Amino acid sequence: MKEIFFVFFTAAVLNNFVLTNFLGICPFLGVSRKKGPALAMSGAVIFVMFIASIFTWMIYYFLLKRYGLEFLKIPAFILVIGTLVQLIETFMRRFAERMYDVFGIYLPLITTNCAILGVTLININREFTFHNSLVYSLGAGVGFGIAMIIMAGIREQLEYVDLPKALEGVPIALLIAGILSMAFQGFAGTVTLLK
Amino acid sequence: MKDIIRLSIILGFVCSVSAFSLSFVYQHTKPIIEQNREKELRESLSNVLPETKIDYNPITEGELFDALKANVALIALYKGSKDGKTVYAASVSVGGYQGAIRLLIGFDPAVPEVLGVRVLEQAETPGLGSRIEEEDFLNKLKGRLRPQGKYDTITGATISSSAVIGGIVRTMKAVLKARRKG
Amino acid sequence: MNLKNFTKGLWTDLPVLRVLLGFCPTLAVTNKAANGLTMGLATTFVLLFSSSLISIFRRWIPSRIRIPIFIVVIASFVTIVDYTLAAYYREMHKVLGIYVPLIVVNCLILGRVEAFASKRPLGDSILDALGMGIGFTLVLVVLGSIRELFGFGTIFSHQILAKPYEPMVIMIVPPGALLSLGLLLGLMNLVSRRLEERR
Repeated sequence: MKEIFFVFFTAAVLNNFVLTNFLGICPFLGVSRKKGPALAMSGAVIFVMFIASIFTWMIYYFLLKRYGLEFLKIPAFILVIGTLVQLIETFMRRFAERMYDVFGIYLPLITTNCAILGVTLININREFTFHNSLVYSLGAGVGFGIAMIIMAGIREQLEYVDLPKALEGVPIALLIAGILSMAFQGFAGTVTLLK
Repeated sequence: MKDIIRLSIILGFVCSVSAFSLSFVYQHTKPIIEQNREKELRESLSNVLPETKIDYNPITEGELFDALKANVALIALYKGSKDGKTVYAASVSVGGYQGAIRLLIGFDPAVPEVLGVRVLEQAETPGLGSRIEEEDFLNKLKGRLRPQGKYDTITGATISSSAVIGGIVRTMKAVLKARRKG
Repeated sequence: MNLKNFTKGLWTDLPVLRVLLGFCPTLAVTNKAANGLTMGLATTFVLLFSSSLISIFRRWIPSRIRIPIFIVVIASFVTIVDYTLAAYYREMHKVLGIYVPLIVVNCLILGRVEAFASKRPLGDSILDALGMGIGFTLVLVVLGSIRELFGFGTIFSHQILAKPYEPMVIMIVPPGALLSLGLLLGLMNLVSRRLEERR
């Protein structure tokens, strides 16, 4: 039980995907202007990360490794992720229209999201068990969401502020992300101390 | 329908070419990558067990192995012989400030004493926690086992250095346990 | 063979600082100039060969499945780079870690291939890829040098700032990456706008 908590906490907070590992920084910068889309994007990311982890883990261990085809990892994973996202999108459009209205447009953006491929690769590199992979991917997604939502909250406030023209848009977002990242560094050492 | 078949064939063809080429590259580079790994292992082991004849096949059973497995996050255990004595090197994982730290600890279970320590992997704060790799720090960790408080930590890297020290103390305590049993 | 295809990658369409793509690797591996250089060259390699291959076969690639095909091609070259680094440049491979496989999702490459290489002849595609790749490498090296200089006191491991200078650790940890890039981007905006006004 404790281990599950640590894996989750590490993924979500300690080594926050966006603020520490910079995975998913593109959508992070692109969709964090308002809280609504930020929340929707986070939901989509968590969902895709989770499902992608399941499939890629199984494909790696039951297919690639078994037949000595580990070197096909990168093409295989990215194709799986792309296909999954397509399937999810089609599925949602047919059977969960409400969900599609909210999440739909963000799904294609997620395919080339370094975060999804990143999670699936980390699961393999760190030789996680199936359970740990699931927990890790959930943690990563939730961490992404936390960062997004905080960012959106701040950027909404930025609308009322006078900024130097050169900083408007992405530069100021990066600077704020930098400060957020500093704040998250404060969590370092928590796991060691807790243990 | 014919369209889908045609598209699938083209896609399949592209994937096959890709798989074939990658397989070729893999065959070529895999031995070199394995060699590199072996070389690194040998270097690290020689570093912590100087002037020792080392057996590069990891030990996977026995009193010592069990005791270590039970008390620390043991990754691998190696045996060596120095001046007729059997010495060992254990690679363990400890939780550091920013993540896991992998240590290689060479020790003589008879005394018991630490013969050498090497940091294999760490992701600590550069310039601060990463100082656990410094020779000065690691050299001071050699010798007979002392109570944890008697080891010096690095200023500005308390948690990182404590983690390393803690790992060594726990490992040596496990060695003591195994020795008492056997 | 329009040389403009090459030069645009170096200024007007400079990756990261003008064309706002490819942030992940930029932030992650620029704590040392040498790392930035390696990543830049690796990406250029993938971009060059993927663009060339796709440009050569562009008339045979059915539009409906072009994206999966592009991805397979790009992923293959990325895998080649990954294994080559692991075999011959082990230290660098360890430092760059998972960011090498992540070149595959670097929007720069897929974007370039989709918008350019799949529609233009080989010569132009090669120039475009080289321009973008080298531009990207330049950005990484510049950012890497700045961060390394202030964070370690060195550039390409040559000591520049010595003892009395206390290195700013923040420059080499994640927050510093974000702050540095933000400021660099802001500076870029300022400079290009001033140049525009002059015209």
